[in-house]
Amino acid sequence: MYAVRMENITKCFGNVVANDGVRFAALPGEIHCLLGENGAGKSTLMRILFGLYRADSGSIYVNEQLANIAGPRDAISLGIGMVHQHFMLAERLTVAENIVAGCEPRRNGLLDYDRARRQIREVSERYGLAVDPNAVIEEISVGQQQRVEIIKALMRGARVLILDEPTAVLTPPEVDELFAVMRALRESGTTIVFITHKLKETMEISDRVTVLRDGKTIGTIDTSDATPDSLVEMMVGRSLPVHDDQRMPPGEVVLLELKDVSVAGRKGSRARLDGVSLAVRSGEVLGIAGVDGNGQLELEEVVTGLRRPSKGRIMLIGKDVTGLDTGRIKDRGVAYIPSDRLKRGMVDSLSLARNSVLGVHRCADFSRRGALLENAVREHAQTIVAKYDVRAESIDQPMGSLSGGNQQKMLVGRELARPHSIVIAAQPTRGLDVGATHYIREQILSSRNTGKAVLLISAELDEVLELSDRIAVIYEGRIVDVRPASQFTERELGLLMTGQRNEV
Amino acid sequence: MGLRGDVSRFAYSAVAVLLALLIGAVLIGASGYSVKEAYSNLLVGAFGGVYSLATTVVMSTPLLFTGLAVAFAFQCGLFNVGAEGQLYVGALTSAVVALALSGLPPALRVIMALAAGAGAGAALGFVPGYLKAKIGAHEVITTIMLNYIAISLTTFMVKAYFRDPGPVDQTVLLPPGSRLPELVPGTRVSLGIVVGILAVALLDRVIRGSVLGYEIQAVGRNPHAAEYGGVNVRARTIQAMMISGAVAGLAGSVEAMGTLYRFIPYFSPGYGFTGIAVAVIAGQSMWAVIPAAVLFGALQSGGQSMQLFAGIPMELMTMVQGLVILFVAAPTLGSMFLGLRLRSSEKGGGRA
Amino acid sequence: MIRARKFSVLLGIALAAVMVMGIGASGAAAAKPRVAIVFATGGLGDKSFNDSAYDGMKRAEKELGIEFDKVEPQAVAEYESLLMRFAQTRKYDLIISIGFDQADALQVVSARFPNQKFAIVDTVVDAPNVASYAYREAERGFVVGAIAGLTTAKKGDPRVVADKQIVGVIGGMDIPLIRANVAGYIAGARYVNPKVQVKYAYVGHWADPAKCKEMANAMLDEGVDVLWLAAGRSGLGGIKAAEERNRYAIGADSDQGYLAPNNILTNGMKLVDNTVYMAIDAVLKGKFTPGINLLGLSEGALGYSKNLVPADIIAQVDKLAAKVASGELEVPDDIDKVEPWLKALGK
Repeated sequence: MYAVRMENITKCFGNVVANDGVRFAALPGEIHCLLGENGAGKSTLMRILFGLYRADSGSIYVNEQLANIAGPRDAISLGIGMVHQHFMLAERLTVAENIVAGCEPRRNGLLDYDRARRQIREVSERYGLAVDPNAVIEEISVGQQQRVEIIKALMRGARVLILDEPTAVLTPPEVDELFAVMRALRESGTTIVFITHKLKETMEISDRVTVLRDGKTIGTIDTSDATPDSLVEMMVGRSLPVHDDQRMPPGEVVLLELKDVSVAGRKGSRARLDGVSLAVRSGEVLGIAGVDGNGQLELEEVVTGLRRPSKGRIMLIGKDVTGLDTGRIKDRGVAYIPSDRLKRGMVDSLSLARNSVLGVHRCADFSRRGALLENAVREHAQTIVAKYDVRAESIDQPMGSLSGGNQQKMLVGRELARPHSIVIAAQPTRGLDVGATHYIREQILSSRNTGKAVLLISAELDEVLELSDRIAVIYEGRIVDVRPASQFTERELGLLMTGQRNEV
Repeated sequence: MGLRGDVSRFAYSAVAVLLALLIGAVLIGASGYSVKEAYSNLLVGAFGGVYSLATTVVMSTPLLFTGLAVAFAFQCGLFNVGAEGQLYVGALTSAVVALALSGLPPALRVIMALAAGAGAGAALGFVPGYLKAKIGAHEVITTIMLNYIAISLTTFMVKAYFRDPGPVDQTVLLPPGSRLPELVPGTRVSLGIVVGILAVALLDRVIRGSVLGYEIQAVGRNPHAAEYGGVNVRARTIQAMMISGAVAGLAGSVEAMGTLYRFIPYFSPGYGFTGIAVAVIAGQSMWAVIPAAVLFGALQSGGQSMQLFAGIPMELMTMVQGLVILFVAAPTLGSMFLGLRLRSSEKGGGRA
Repeated sequence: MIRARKFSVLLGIALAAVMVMGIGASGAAAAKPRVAIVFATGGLGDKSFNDSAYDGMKRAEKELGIEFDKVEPQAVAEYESLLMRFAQTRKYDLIISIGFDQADALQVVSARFPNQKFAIVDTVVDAPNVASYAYREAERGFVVGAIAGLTTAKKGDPRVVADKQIVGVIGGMDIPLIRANVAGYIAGARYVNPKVQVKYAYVGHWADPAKCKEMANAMLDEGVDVLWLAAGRSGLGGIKAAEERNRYAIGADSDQGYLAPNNILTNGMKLVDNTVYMAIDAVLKGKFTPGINLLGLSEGALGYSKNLVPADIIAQVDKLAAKVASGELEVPDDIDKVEPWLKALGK
């Protein structure tokens, strides 16, 4: 008997088929991973189960009873709960207020907060979900906010709990804590549907895995029968080659150097970057590891001229470039993959062709006497599309109509196509699926292999570990440690990133 | 964007015009006038015969320029509400220069007067552009303020320095050689409309085929990305505003040199503001400014006949024109002000 | 341009569709005489020329049995096409232009339609088929001047400065038309009251109320207690000054009494309604007279409004006006001619 069973679910958005005859079934008391690349239809399927979307066709059974789920209220009354990727919490209210919103315990028509707090304590103690009911949401960490969402779902009687990419927003220690909670819930008989595209987590936590690809069910297997490679093959439809490691040894020439660079904070607050000194040599990747918001954005902007340092110097190939604007810095041989590709990297309403020359449009290849050379621009765009496997209908479609992965490929292609000796790659695979991530990481490595200096700024610890020759850990705007990558363990990095230096 | 977008845009505009006219019909009928007479006069007055067509062209010409000016500024993400003021300084400057150069050959005289008018408009456009680029002053506010200044200043200049010695505050009538030549004898269809179409063609080339236009578009659509791409955002902002001002200035020049043959204070019934509606209908395409301007010109010209021969009072006629503006332009205007993008609805609903 | 054409077609279809749905039939052919009028850009509701002209048209409709079409232009640039469209129909016995700023347009259109009769009010267009209606400006100056000269001699009125007997006039511009008004005013005041002193000045602008107010205050300082403002919008400043100091002001063109009900003594009126009526009447009677038609008190085209004028003064002034209208008294139209004229009359 299944806790939930979905049969032949089909859902279209306009011309796009998001779910195409999908089957999915979860047993009571199991952790069931729903695995697939971005756009495979995972979230859509679960939103249908939770009543946020209506399936075009197909049926849903809860405890083997045909269920008619017209909205989240129906789903909740059937014991289904969902924690979204983006939390649905009122920032200014307390934990308790958020949890009871919508199903307030009442006494004499008034809210009974004492009872609410008691219930919250009970639930949180039982599953190890430590959280203070009186804390205000905006003052607690993202991990704690997630717990609030989980408690909220449990208090509404969820027996099937859907977690949509819950680890995306967490630091490594928080992931471990979440997994402990999930195991405790499993012990008590709760079914957990865990949406993810991360193989490692799937292997670690799940009992069974269902893989979706292009809106179709590829299969359901026991995790014990799976290997990371077999799961990738199910997700992508082919196996990914191992990164080609034909590389030049790192050189000795320092191509990019930061000397004691600081960025002042807003009045009264501490510096965003505090005396950062770094050197990146030719043929190496220097990875910056850190929890988001510890100065990575400032580092990225200061190196690329989008922001002026309040102190210190920035040297490119031995020349001081402090205070030059982005255009001039890039012209000195910097390829720059910005962390916020929508804001910085592209003009989403302009065509692929137009975007393919952003930043190089003034050079002689693409313009003459003030006129854009339309043919040269189009040719350039075609070359990038072909070389970087950008999936697009035409180079005339607006950039914004591409998927995130294809936008990023286009952008990386453009940056690596310009003459450069230094690559600044900030969050280069954020939000991308496995295939695109793999591809872009390969491009970064191949840049390194041809002797470029790469500064990699990434919140994905796996990525930093996989690509870097050396790793610098950033915490609260300071570089707390720099060593060759092989000398760090993941646990060590996790502690350094969260400021627990002494425990290393 | 693209041909399909244009076609659907025009289909939408056509439906909107029809709808506005239907509601107008109800209003006209309810006010006790003959709808058939009103609208047949509107149609005949706008398109029936050489003189009607010519009047439509004459009425469309200033709107073609002001619409183009506003549409071009839109490309840089700027909302030029100052076309009205730029038009006044352009008109006065051209009238004065055309008079002052009466010793030169007519062709040279006309070209220099047009250039002076465009230059004056550009100079007035520079001010809000500079204020926006340097201190972030919003161009809507500054251009509105400058409208008052420009209109009052031109009036003062006429009274103080360039007055025709008659009972009326206006400049001296331009001698024939200082006027824009009439294209259709007996109408006021002048070379101005040709200048307008050339301006459209030129700005279309700038937007679609030049480095400047590319950078202006990048600044207008995503200034952060433009900065990342090495574009001097401030310089482009100022330049876009100056070009827009120059085109609006030409609207005044052409009106003064091709229609009125002199500068008269307060001559414009709000060409600069109607230009905003024209630009909103035209959307992203420079060429689309032409049919959009003709729509308003036709309403004005047809509206004359509606008033003249169907006895429709001006108020009712203005209301019908207002309805057309409302229906055709409101959705775009609304989304512009509310920051809602039509695109987002197309993007939504992908596979999550 | 392809798009433009396409759009025109779409618009045409839209209009055609609406027309099919249209109700009512077009008007039957008119047997009555037809007149068209093109107002000035201020439009109806201006409480001045346009409204007054419209009153004249309505009176002509009722009393002369005409039908008329009217149009309110929104821009100076529209005058020519509006006149042209009226003329093209060739069904109007007369087309009337209101206001001096239509002169350029009428000059062009009248030349193109030599058989069409036109009239223009308040300015002169030199064409064989245009009747220009202008005014014997000195005559209205004369009547309000007479009222001023009699009023300043009144005793016990708080708005009159005792024992001074000074009146004033401020003109908009130093041009012949205004000088004629001033001359008439001086002549009128001195004719009824030889002891009176008359001050006069020109603003230099039609729309500078601030400067006019300054000048008015200077005159009031000197003891002027009745001040005529023949200065367009500038005059508003003078009226304001008189109101603030509680002296008498005289308005111009239309009844401006509402601006200062306790201080506007009278107004030197241009009766555009009568002018328009007369122009139509002349055409109907076959007496269309191209060229300059000067109108004055005798034609009822100029006059004064009664406002605060006491009955005894009205009686005296009406007698004088009748003398002017009958031609017995010819008012000088230049300031230099006023003294000799007074002498000749033995005053």
